[in-house]
Amino acid sequence: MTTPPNDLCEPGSFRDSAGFIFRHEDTIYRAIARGGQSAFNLLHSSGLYEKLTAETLLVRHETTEDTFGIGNDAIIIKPEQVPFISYSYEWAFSQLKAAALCTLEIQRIALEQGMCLRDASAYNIQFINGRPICIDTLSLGAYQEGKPWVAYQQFCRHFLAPLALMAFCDCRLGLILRDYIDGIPLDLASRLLPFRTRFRLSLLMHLHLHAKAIGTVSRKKAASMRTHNAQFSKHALQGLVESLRSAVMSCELPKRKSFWSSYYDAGVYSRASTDAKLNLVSDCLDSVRPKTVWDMGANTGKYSILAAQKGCRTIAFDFDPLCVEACCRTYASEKLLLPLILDLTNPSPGLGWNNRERKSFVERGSADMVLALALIHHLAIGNNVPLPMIASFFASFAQWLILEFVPKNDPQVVEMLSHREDIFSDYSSAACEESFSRYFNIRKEEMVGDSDRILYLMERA
Amino acid sequence: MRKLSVISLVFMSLAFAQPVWAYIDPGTGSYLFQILIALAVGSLFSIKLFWKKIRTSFENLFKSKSDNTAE
Repeated sequence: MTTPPNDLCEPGSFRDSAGFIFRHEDTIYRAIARGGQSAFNLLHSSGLYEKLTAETLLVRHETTEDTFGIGNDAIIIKPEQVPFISYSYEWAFSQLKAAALCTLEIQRIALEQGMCLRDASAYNIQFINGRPICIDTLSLGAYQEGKPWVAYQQFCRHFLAPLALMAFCDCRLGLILRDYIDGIPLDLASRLLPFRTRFRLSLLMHLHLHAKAIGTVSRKKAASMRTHNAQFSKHALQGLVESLRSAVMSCELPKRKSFWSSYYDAGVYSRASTDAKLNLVSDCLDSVRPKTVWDMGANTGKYSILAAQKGCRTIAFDFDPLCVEACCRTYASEKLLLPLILDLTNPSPGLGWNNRERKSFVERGSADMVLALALIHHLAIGNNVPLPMIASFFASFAQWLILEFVPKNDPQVVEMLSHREDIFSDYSSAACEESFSRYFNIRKEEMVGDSDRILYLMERA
Repeated sequence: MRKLSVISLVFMSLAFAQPVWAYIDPGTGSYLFQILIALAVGSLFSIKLFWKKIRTSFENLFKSKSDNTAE
């Protein structure tokens, strides 16, 4: 195995002996070890690379010189860069479904060209320009006639199980992927799924019976000796892929609105205030012209879309999976908008080996501009986070900040405090300005329409 | 008896000899399960392809009929 220089290698890239990912001066590269080169060459010679990149299913890459001291005859490629790394436990239902279908489509086309996916991990998929795409060029290997699919169980764990749980149990269950970094164990999924899922043939087969088969193999060792001559034909493998596709397609969310997704319809804001806020945010975006915008607590993306339409690469974060789902569906065609699930009070932690295989939220980078609209009272009052700590948190990743201060007499805050002791004597616009001024310079301050809310535009000092 | 267990052990390891680059663990249960369902998924796939062919032939048939009537 070609060992990367320790300071370069990405912490999450060590399992595949065919190669690894490394970073040099903010650019990601992939080194292909000697052992992985035959598959890599076949990817090109079979025409599969052209086919997959034409359909934007696989990232394009260019070969580059080894100026990094990797050696050992490694081939170095520079793949298409991913603007923002996200993980399957941060995706809404539609995004996970699209990623699953992308994986299966790659496998379907690969089989036609004599190749096969060696793994079907959700971490091979990232979102670029609003579409799921495979970033692991080394995932594809030569197809070996007669062998069952090595990645079948992994596909079921990473994709089918969470999709079924979200569709038939609860849409919040995608979060279980955070605790099981190699996908949800099938016996767990089978146990959690409602009984009626056993009446769907594809789910019965790939989840319930599959789980039973995994659980009973030790007792069936005798049977396995009789099946050692059994072949798994290419036709059967193609049938398996098609069957998995049916299974994924049969997963649909029930039509149900969460409190948050009907937030804007509930008349919390007056029409005048909504328009005023839209104009204020729009003006701030026009004056700063940020390249990247993160909308924290974005709800259904009403303000995130403003930024995306102005050409900013925008991420709409919200902790409610149904809001993020609504955002995905409403703005499906907007390439510059990436909705993601994130609970600010408990953001994605570092996961995996040494807690470093999957990056925590705070390691994901920073944004030119951050929107914190109708958010601060949820953090300060709803979650008891002191204003100085909120300010320090935003300062760690925001160059510019549009902050909406929601005062205590706001109807929402009044309702929040109606059954609680008011321990928030330090919560005021003055205290807010003082806390944030430690890190930011306040460039603009305006009242939001006819409400008592204040919109601040701040620049990192 | 001892000879038989040695042979079975060798058979088992050969039957499930992993391809060189199967760097993930597919699980013996999953491998066996695929072989069990091979006939089912293969047949369903054949039926799907067959229906697709029938549908395309019908579409072509009606298309050519409407072309004929148009003339």
